[in-house]
Amino acid sequence: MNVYKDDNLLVGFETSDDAGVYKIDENKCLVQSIDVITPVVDDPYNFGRIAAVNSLSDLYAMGSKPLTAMTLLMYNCDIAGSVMHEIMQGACDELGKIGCVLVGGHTLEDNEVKFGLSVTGMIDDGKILKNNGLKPGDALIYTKSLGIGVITTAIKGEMATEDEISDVTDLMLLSNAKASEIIKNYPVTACTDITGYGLAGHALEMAKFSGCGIKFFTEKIPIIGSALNYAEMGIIPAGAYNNKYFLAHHYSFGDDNKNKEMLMFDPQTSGGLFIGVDRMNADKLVDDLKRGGYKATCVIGEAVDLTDHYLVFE
Amino acid sequence: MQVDARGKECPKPVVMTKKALDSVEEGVVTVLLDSEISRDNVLKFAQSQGLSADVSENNGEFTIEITKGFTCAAPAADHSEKTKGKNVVLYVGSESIGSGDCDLGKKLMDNFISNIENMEQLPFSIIFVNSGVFLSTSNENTVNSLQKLDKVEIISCGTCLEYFNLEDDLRVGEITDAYTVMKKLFDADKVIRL
Repeated sequence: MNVYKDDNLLVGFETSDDAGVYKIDENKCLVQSIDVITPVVDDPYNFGRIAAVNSLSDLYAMGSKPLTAMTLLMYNCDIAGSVMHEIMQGACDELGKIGCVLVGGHTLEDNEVKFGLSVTGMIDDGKILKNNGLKPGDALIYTKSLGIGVITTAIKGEMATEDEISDVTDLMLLSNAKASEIIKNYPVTACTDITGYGLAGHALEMAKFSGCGIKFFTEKIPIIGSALNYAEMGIIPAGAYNNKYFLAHHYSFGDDNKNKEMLMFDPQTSGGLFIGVDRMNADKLVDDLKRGGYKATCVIGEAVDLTDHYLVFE
Repeated sequence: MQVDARGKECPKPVVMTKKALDSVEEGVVTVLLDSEISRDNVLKFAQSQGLSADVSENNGEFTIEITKGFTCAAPAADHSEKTKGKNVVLYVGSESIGSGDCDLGKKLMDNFISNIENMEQLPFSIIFVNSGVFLSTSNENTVNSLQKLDKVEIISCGTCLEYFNLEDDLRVGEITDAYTVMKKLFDADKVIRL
């Protein structure tokens, strides 16, 4: 593909990072990202909220503060206008909470409803949280539980309980804003948010562009309890299979629990932050994040010298 | 009872299968599917419910027969008895399938090996020769899949293991010699060669 090059583009798509970063001056950078999703919950207002939080997550994963947003809505004319209104209002309410201005948007007709946002942020302290500075010996921390894709698939199949729906909605609405602020006080070497490619997919990007391997302490990875049960029953989104197939030669999985293995590839909507930090600071960072509201935070692995596979699940 | 879940997106095939099974006390529910993902999900579901399931494939479409209860006419699938009948030998002479692109070939091989357990009739023996010995040694995916195959003889060529410095790395089955490989091929009713 022929692409125009500009030296002011500090982070482009070559390293599969969370957002593009464009230099304004020595300390200021403009950060841009876009994310669109299909409905993950039945309630349209919550869907709008989740879509907004999901889109903003990439800005936080780069260490930026959101400034402006534009919406992209695909809708079906057969659906009541009030539903579209609820979706938009949900998104507006989340943007309002953080002082991010909605400047416009675009709508398209489509058989299936899809909604998301293009978001723009600013880094003004010169600290860009890239995904590719991991060094062997660094601890790897994750801030949310895995299994969001499986649970939202169970919701689609009308199998999830009210509690499961409520818990996963809360999980998806947990913004990475505070986490982003907290980690800027630490010598973080790499950071990315976990979304459509699952933990394994995004971890692979981090490992590959950092030039090292990642060893996961599989037992320590937090998983939503009922997600394992649903995975056992075959309630697994197609995206998980596709992610697993795509990564086939890049990982090894030591545990013989096939369902747990699938959850490593489970696409997350509005997932947590996956953070590489010098091991000496790991425990304190975990405590700070837990106190910041990210209750599931723990060290789930460590960076190692690259061997046969980028990712090794113990 | 038949469930046509072709063209249906996840998790509809599992949900439709569940509804059909819930609606019968006993019997055979036949599920029609057109994707490997749906096939794997419905199979997982059947296994999670402790039900036996038979899979067959025709032109990229899959039929899964799930048996519920014990008075149905269809014989319950007994995985340990799958090897009755012909002496079928699977001869694997390379770690990749086809020629052209090696990475694609390896992916195809991984998938093939992982799907053997779903076949109605399992091979009597699987023989690994030349770079095929990577599949019984260092390839985690295929080793895991092969370890699951009950009552299937898995043998790897000793000369080939030594050639690739893998003689201490055999993770599944036994080491064999050239004469045994020849004998098994000549004695077989059918040889599937990859």
